[in-house]
Parts: sequence; structure tokens; C-alpha cells
Amino acid sequence: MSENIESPEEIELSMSEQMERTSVNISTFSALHESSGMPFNFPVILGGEDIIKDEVVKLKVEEAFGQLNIQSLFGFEDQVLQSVIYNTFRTDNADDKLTPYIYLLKSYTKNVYLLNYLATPYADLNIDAYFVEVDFMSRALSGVFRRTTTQEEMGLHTEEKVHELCKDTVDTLVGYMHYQIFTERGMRNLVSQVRTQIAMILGMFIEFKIDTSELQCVGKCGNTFAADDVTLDEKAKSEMICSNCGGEMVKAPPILKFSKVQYLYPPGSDDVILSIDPNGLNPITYLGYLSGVMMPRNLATTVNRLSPTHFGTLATVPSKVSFSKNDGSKIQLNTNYRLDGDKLILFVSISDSKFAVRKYDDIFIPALSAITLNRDMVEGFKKGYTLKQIIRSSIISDWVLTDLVDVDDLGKFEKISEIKSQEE
Amino acid sequence: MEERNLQKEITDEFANAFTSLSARVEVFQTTQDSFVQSLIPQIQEVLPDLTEENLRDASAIYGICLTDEAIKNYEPSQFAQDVKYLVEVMPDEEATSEIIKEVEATKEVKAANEKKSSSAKTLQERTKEAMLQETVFMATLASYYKSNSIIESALNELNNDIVLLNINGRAEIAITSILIRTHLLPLYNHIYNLYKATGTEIDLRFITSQIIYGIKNLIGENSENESQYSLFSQIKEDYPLGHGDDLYWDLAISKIYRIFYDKLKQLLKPKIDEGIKNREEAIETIRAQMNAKAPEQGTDESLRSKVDSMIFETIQFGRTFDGQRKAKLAQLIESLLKRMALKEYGVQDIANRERYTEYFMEEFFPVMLEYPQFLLPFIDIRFYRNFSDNPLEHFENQKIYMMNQFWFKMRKNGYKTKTSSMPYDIGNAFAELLYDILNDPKVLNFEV
Repeated sequence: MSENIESPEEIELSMSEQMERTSVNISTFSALHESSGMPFNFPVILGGEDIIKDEVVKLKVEEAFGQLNIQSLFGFEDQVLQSVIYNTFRTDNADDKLTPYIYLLKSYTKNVYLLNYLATPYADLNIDAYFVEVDFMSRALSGVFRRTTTQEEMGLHTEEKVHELCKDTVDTLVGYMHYQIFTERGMRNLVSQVRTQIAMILGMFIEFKIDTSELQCVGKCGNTFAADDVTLDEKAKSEMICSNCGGEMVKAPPILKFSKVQYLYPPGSDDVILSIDPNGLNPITYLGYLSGVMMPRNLATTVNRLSPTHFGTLATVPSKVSFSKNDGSKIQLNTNYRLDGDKLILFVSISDSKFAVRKYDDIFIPALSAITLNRDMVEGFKKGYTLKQIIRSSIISDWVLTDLVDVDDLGKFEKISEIKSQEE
Repeated sequence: MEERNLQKEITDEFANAFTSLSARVEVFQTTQDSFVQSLIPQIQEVLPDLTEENLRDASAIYGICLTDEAIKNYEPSQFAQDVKYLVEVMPDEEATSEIIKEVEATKEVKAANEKKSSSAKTLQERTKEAMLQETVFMATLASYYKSNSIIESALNELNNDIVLLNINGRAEIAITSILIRTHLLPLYNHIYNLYKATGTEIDLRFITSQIIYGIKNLIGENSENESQYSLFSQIKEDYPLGHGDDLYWDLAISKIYRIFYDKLKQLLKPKIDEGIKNREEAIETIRAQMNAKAPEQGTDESLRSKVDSMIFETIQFGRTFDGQRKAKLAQLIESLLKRMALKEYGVQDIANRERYTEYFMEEFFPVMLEYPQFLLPFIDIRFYRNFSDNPLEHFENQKIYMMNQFWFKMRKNGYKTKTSSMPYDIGNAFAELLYDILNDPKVLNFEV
């Protein structure tokens, strides 16, 4: 045997190194500094050695993350976003690049917010364990921040010192998280705690238009331009030079635009839902769960600056979303998508822990079967069945399917059941 | 969910500590009366307002702390300072926890009964408030006593991990985070909840000073007359906050880890150096063996040596035997068994399924005898002593019993004699078994 042959373990190691080098891990802590009324932001970018060619750009992006308003990002009134996993696909059908998954987690303790953005080809991160880590990080920084600012008020520290001490903590916390994911391959074990019971209450089919025409300046101004933007002259379009600041322009990441929606709900759910949640029947409320977690535009374009070749053609679709509500209940979204020409069709199942009660067993289905259902839907489409055929042969054969409605027309309906249903 | 369980565990632990300490105090007061009497003036000097009953209890608890070595190198006056602080933060009647109220209620019933049954017994006529105050006092000191003894054992564990992590050459950032998060933060939480069980919202800085005192004792740095309370006063000077669980990390890293990690590491340096040396030697030996074997190594043997090295690494270098390695091991065993069948019969899938088991006994069971500690789970626990004296001899004597146990466990892990997936089942069952064994601290710590 020749000595050059690598053992499987060594190959695995270099694979994981490759993975690490194309993964980008961005954490931004934001703490509200009460005496100045300004948020202190601590952004850190780790990883991505293979795709980020320019260190200056990295610093600029870090700075841009430092200016994001973390608190209001994914802000909802009565529910708090915990985590979103995005599925991605490339609009240019390039197969030679590693396509990452994107994990976005948000957590807060007292007045410290933390947004963690991780784009990595690893699909096996356990989101619960990961959230526990992120949650811990925000709690740890909250303590340091609370202590240092109190010391500042007492005149023991300057504002710079507070910043420095917090920055040290942030580096330690983020550094260890990155080390855990990529060096130890941690956060992959299942969390042993008992999961909250949760039941699927509604399905949605949504049609998106994929818009890839937008351009983005990666120079000074950082503006984005729609393809038909009047300020863009021909020269700008052909040579890709920003007519505003003269900087280089690249393709902005694709946008998914909501176009039509179709609902799927269990018969007789009106009264049950209304008794628990007064806004529960409004079609826009449910669409809002999804539209609220679509990748924020400013986040997508900022990350794109890191590596336009890597992120410029990357469309992101939320695939698993968890919210926690203020009353302690949990809402989960699971999605599956299918590409159909320039359209994207997404099947979303919405589950809510408040309805996982025995007396509603006949109406709703457990969220675990919803995941199987999701897969069946997409497989069914692939085989060329119509929506109706798939539903009739699935476990939710008695659920009501509404007509396909334009998203702009949804305002006319107060209840989902007012939308005309497709009768056989 | 888990958090709630932990909370309950700690509350139970407190209740146990409280009852056992109360009982011990009574015994101590009767058996060591003169010692208790001699302590009272020293404690009274610091705590002039304490009732006589409280003074006697405090003296007895100090005595118990001394005999148990819960806190070392402690003078009565230092102890009294701590008690003085604890009396200040003791919960008032409203804040007192349910556990204490329950204890109080049973006491009252008992007292009432005693009064009825024997008028001869001189029961001090005490007010209800005074009696409750006494119970709370005792309970708070029970938390104090218990927390000091947990600190001692937690610090031992911390030291073990400092040695292990350094031997394995982990990155500095990982060492910091692992030590703080697996040892110090749970320790804070544990002690906080112990005090909380009485109803006291203890200042986290006091917990910090308790831990620091323990560490200083280990590294021999505590100066004279330095009590946990005096350390607490020092910390208070520049650390302004004392409440809220988000402070655990900050206190642990800024007040304990950054100051004492290097000192502890220095203290443990001989152990770490020795461990690194052993590890390097072992790696060198293995490398030499592997190189020597390499030329005549057949494919079968290389597979077999992979199985061996997997186990060896876990036992010798403390590498964790995780699920991934378990799955790999199962595959390796399966393919080896198939190869053996191929050699003998020319096909992998042989009709005589029991033959696989024979292969297994030939090729893999000897692993169990190479590492006698692996047999630990199969012995009858009454023979533990016998086994630890000479494992292999014990195995020969008890072979039938132990083999029965072995196959019982294999079957539990999915081994069946006649199935189509036979070689896989054996591999998988054995890998599962080894997984349990290699993750069993009893086995790993067994000295052969």
C-alpha cells in the first residue's frame, strides 16, 4: 500500500475544512446603551476564507452589519422569531458551486439582541441545540453589558472601556460557537428535552415570481437598482458601472415576489380557531407569518457584497421557521418548494402548539405528519398529479381547498372560509 | 422542562441536607457540649444579637463543617462573619419558602403532642415567630454548609478537566468556554438554587467569593483572616451588580477564570506534563507498530486493526466514542464477517447463518478479554471485589454466567440468530454494546 493514500478520516477532515472555508458566520450583537440612547453594535464575521477575496470588503460588511437595526429586524408584535432555516437554489443553474443552507437565529435577553447569520453547506445542524447556544450568548453578553454600563454610570469606566470589554466577550462567545460548529462538529446531536406538542392547522400554496433583474452597486453608495430604473443609463447597464457613484455593479440576489395564494384548511376549524385567536381566521395573518421571515432585502444585499459570485445568484426560501409567542406557545412553519419555469411554488404548513389538544384531534393533524405531507405534496407535483389529486389521496383528504387568489386581492376577505372553495 | 427537573432536584437536595444537618446538630450539641460551649463566646463577639439557641446551632454547624472539612482553614470568627452576612439576607416571614413552612408545621404538631403527653418535659415557652426564625436560621446555614461541600467536589472535577483538556491539546478558546460552561455556570446555578430553596435571594457575588475561597485553598493562597465574607466585600468594591442569572458568565470569567486559571494550571502542571508525555509515547508506539506491520498487512487485517485502534484511542487517549464511530464500527464488523464467509465458502451470504456467530466469536470476542474492564457490565455485582482483583480469572470461573449476560445484552441490542441481515445485526449489536461500555464512566475509570 502506498503511503499517499489518505485514510477516510483524513479525507473527511479536508472536506470539512472545505465546508468551513465556504461557510460564512456573521453574528451581530446589539445592546441599547441607556445613557446615550444609542445601540452598541458588535458585528463579527468568521469563516468564508474561500469565497471572500477582499479583506477590506469584509470590514465594510462588518461595518454594515453594525448599522443594522437588529431589534426591528423580523419584529413582530406578539410573536418572537427564534430561528429560520432557508433552503437555497441558484437561479443560474450553476452546479459547480456549493449551495449553502442559511440559518438565521435571533435571540434577546433584557436589552441585548443577537442576530446570527450562518451560510453553510452543512445541512445537519440541530436547530434546537443551535438556538440554545445563541440564547446563551445573548444572556452572557447581557450580563457583561449590564455590569460594564453600571460601572460607567458610577464613573469607574469610560464608554470606550465598556465597548472594549464587551467586544472581548463577543469575540470569545462567537469564536467558540464557530469552533463548535466547524472544528468539533458540535450541535448535531438531538436535544433530549421533550418537544412541545404541535398541530398543523393550515396549509398554503403560494406562487412566487422570481425576479433576477435587480442590480446592486458594491462601490461607495451601495444602492440597488431595478432593471428599468430611469437613473441607469445604457453605459451603466452595459459596463456595469454605477451611475450614482461610479463604483462597480453586480447582480443583486434574486427577489421572490408573492403573486398568488391558495389555502387549505380543515372543515369546521372556524369556531375552534376563533375561540382561541380572534385574528386567527384572517388570510393575511397567515401569509404574514411567511412574508415576515422572507430574507430581509438589506441583509441579502449586504451579504452579497462579501462575495457576489457566491451569493449573487442565490435565492433563499424559508424552509423551517419557529416563533415563540408571548403566551409561551409555539408556531412552526414547514415548507417545501418546486420550481416551475420562472415561477416558484411553495407549500407551507403552519402548526401551532395551542391546537395540539386532544379534543381537537379530529380536526387538525400532528405536525410530524405534516412534514411527511409536505414531502408528498412536492413529490406528487413532480409526478404530474394535480393539487386536488394529491390532497384527495393524502391524510387530509377532507380538508377544504380554496381557489387561487391574487395576493393583492386578499384584503377583500376577512376569513379564509370566505374565499371560494374548489368543490368537486 | 429539564430546567424544572433540575430545580426540583436541587430543592430535594436542600431538603435532605436540611433534615440531616438538623439531626446532626442535635447529636453534636449533646455529644460535644463542651466544644460548643467554648465556641459560643467567639461567635457571640461578632454576632451579639443572636439568640442563645441560634448561637448553639451556629457553633455546632461550625464544628460539623470542621469535621467534614467542608471549609478548610477557617477560624470561628471568620465563620461568624459569614453567618452575620447570612443573617442579614435571611428571608423574612413572608419570603420564607414552602419547604421551611412545612417543616415548621410538623414541628409545631410535634411540640403540641409532646406538651400533651408529658408535662414533665420542660418545653421552653417560645413564641411562634422565634421558632420560625430558628428554623430559617438553621435552613440558611444548611444551604451555606451544603454549598461549601459542593464547591469542593466541583473544583475537583474542574481540575480533572483542566488536565484532560490540556493533555488533548484543545484550543484555548474551547478550554475557556468548556471549563466555564460545564463547571462554573452549573455551580453558580446550583448554589443559587440551594439558597433559593430557603427563600433567600443570595447575592451572586457572595457565591463568587465562596468559590474563590475554595480555589485559594487549593492553590494555598489564602491569607490569614480572609473569610468568604471579606472576599465578598472586596468584590463588591468594583463589581456593582449581584442579581440576575445573566451575570453568571461575567462573574465566572472576570472574577474567577481570568484570575485563577493560570494558577490552577500551574498547580496541575506535573499532571499535565505527565499526561502529554504518556500520550506522545503511546502514539509513537502505535505508529511504530503500524509501520512495522504495514508491508505484510492484508486487507482483512487492516480492517481489523481499524477496529482495534478505534477502541484503543478511546481507552487510552480519551477520545469520545460517538455515534459516528459506532456506526463505522458496525460497518467494519459487518464487512469483516462477510469477508470471512467469502474466504471459506466463496459467497458472502451463506446459508449457515450460525457460522457468522462463530466468526464473530473467533475474531471479535477476544477484544473483550484484551480489555478486561469491558467485562465489568457482565459480572454479578456481588463479585465486584473478586473481579477487580483478577478480571480474567474471574471470567474463567464465571464464564457461563457472564456469557449469558453478554448474549442477553447482544439480543437486547438487536442480535437475532436467524435473520437475513445477520452479519449486520451482529456488527450493529456489538457496536451498540461497545458504545454503552465505552461511554460508561465506571468502565473508563476502572484500573486494570
